[in-house]
Amino acid sequence: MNRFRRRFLLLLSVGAASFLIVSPAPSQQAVSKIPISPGLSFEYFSRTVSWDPDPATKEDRYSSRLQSLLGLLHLDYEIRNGSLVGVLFGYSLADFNGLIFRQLPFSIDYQAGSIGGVLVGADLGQDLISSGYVEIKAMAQFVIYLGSTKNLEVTTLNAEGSLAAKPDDWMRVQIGPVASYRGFEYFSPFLSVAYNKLWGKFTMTETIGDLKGSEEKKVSSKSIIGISLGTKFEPSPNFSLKAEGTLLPFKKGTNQGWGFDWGGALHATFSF
Amino acid sequence: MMNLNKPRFLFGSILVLALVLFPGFQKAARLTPGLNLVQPDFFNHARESRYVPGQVIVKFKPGVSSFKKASVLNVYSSRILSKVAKLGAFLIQVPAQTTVEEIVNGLQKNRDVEYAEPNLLLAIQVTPNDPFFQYQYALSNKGQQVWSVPGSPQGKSSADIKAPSAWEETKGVETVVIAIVDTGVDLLHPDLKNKIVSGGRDTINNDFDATDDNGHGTGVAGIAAAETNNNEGIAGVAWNCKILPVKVAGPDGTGPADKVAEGIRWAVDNGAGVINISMGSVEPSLLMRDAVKYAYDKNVVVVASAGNNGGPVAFPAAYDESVLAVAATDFNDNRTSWSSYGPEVDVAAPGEKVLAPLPTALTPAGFFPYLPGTGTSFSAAHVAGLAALIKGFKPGLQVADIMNIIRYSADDVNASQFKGKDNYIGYGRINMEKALVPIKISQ
Repeated sequence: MNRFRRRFLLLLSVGAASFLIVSPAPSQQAVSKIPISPGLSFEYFSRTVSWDPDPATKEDRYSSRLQSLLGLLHLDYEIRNGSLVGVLFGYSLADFNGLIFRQLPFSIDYQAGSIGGVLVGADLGQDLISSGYVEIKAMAQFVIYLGSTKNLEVTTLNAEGSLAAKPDDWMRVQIGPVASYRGFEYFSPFLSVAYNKLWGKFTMTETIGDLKGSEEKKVSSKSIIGISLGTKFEPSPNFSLKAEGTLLPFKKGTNQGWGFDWGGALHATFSF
Repeated sequence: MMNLNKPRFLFGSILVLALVLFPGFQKAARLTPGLNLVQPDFFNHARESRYVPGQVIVKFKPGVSSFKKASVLNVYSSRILSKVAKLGAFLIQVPAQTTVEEIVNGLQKNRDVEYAEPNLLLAIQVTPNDPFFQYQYALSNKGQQVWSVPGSPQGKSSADIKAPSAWEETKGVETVVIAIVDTGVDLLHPDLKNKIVSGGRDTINNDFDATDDNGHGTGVAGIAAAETNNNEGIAGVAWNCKILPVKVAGPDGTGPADKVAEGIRWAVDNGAGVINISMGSVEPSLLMRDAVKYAYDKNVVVVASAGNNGGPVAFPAAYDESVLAVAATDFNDNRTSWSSYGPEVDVAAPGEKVLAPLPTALTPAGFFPYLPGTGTSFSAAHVAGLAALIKGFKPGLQVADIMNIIRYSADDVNASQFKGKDNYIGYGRINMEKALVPIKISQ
């Protein structure tokens, strides 16, 4: 958790600094009387995660895929024109299939699918530049998934066996600029290039007859940069819908070329 | 203010958003399996080297026109690399911006497609190049003859300890040493000389030259850890583990309890991680009990043969808490009639006509220094090899854990007569694959 705390504090610092340093964008016509905007979003992503790096070289030895479906409730608060903070709550299904636990008495290849968990997080937004139809914002988001335990049985051995599979957490931080084109009446296409890192922990506890063991697996996304393309649709001042897709390139390994992770999200926001 | 038919406009706009303005999402929407996050089996392991990157095999249903096939592939921006001869399938290259998984998932849902799959990489199973491996039914039984002599019996397919599958997971580590507490080991045998860590200890002659003058210990050592993949002789269970010879018996194959106990203690104090004792007595010996207990307390796995007289389990195998007692099965997975039995039997392993090294000094001119041996001695050697593999692969385990892994992973091959643990083969014939290869858990 120390690493998580350090990263989170760093991000908060960066976010806070951006609010202090960046001069406010030209004020826009205020459309909200209440500065809190609720929203709802759904997201799916598929990220390649690596684990058990070589102790000597620190290079990735194994990888699998973390797939997750997220449903989030957003509460955004506009501190002042162009500055936004928000909190997120929700639920996620996380599928860690492909993790292999070799330090347990009996090695386990986890293929048991998704496990539910709660999500909490926060996001920050700050208008940076507005010139003609082009608007550039700084956006940051941190989300943490806290998984529940899935109990499984081992039936292939001469002793009764059970497993407790628990994705302790995964955390994701995204931070980067978003450029929007505001030249259309209802649509605002946007492009974002952001630092996008995901890391987490999964613990497998095994009890087979008299054998007991527990193995913690730390995973980390291979991709760290995400390129997002999407559009915001605003049919009224009280409602907006944002759709985006994200591509996250990563280098597979020495002489193995590039791979791509991906994700997609739909985000509805209401203003009153 | 805008004046809109809001619901209709909203729906239409979302559709436009998804399908027109954002072609990337168009693909994602079609390919994403919604809430079902379970991928097809191909991707369950997600280890990237399991299939050729960027390639997919697709076969269309009979009657689908060439134009239609081209249209389908065009949707996925894929191009045909080649046609798989006479099987009617195509090898296609997926575009750089998508993954093999996405294309396969998408194609599998297309009603014109019979199947789509990644271009899997098939690997040869780990098969050592040792010329006599083909006769080692105990390691891999394909129903072959158990020896090259005309008239030698054929085994039953899969009546083996499943060594090749386990070797894909581990072949052992050099730091794990198997002590062969026996009649010594032929230190110059071509299949053993590179595996022996030292001249060992001879408690009979009180020196440090554990040369075998009987032949028994050499055979046991070879089964457990003969040099493997060396184009010579046989394969050992523990490819990379080392052998520590300890001579505790004379040319007649017998040794006094004090010499055996001394040898066990010496092995423990000189780096043994596993001790094989293919010797026994029908009478208990407290000194022997103390010796195996000493090994157990020092986290050394002790494996011993149950005995060959069809009676009660011999000592030290019968020292239940600190020793794995091994009975014998044959090439058909049947318990041999002469294998000793009792509640102390933990597991069984092949012990009938098992090919093993023979000391070169005892080999008649013109013959290879190998001979099929019979007895629980050779069964125990298989188990000692497996214990060494586990110890090297999972160094954090305690000796009791290793013993339990071997017990719990055994195949209950006599379940039709005695379900569960029984006095004849204990938990069953050992299964290296189940002991070492990750258990796939999918529910």
